[in-house]
Amino acid sequence: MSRYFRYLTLLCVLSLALLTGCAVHLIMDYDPVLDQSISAVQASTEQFLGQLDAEVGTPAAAYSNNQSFYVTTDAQLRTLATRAQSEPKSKIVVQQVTELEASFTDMQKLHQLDGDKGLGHLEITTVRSGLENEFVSMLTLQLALKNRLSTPATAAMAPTVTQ
Amino acid sequence: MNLDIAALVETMWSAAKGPLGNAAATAEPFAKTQFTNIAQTCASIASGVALTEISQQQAAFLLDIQKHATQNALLATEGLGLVAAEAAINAALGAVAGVVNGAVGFKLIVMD
Repeated sequence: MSRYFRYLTLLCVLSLALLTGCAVHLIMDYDPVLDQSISAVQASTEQFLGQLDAEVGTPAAAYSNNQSFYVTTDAQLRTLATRAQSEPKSKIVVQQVTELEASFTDMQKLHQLDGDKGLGHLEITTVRSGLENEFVSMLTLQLALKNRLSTPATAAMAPTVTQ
Repeated sequence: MNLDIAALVETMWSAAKGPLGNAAATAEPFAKTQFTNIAQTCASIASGVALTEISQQQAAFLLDIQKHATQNALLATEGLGLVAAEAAINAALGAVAGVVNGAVGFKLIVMD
């Protein structure tokens, strides 16, 4: 019986060593380049939407005059996705980038649909709201990764996006 | 028809909190803020359609963007839950590291 308990104790210690030998890591490490790249895409998007909003109804707002934005943003998002994929335990962040890419594809199709007319004010407001929500979600997670093991994320990290 | 934003938020939260499990309490403030933003946008789309400022096809693209925004918010809450769970586990391990390491005579639990 005492031999049984000795083996059991040894097994428990070995299991503990294998399972908890070091700090547990359930999600990827904070990557400042990824964080800054998300902010950079948001900045260029805000600038683009602000410009479009000021040019509603003019030839400058036509899809044909703004294709370069979509090409550039697509390249930035693909780069983001590749960087995130290279990190271990990055599945959630990679999925977030994929969702953002899909939103930009929707926005491009919407712009194509509007053609020479360009996006209207209500469309711009609605697109902006959706994209800003996505950026807030992504940056909130980045902030939590940055602050891990100190303060958990709260609502204070998620500012309300005005309509 | 005007959409009830508070009701939309509660419906979204009810659907999301099940899959979130134990992380629901941690994620609730962030998730509800995000869901409110999304519900307001859905109401805006509905209003634009009613006023014929937005066509059915345009509405479909706009709603699709909101779906991605919702998915992104849920992914963030899932990630926040993992960060919180990770912090809890590591706090528990850290609390007993000294005792366990002392008992075994070497650094079995390393928290660096």
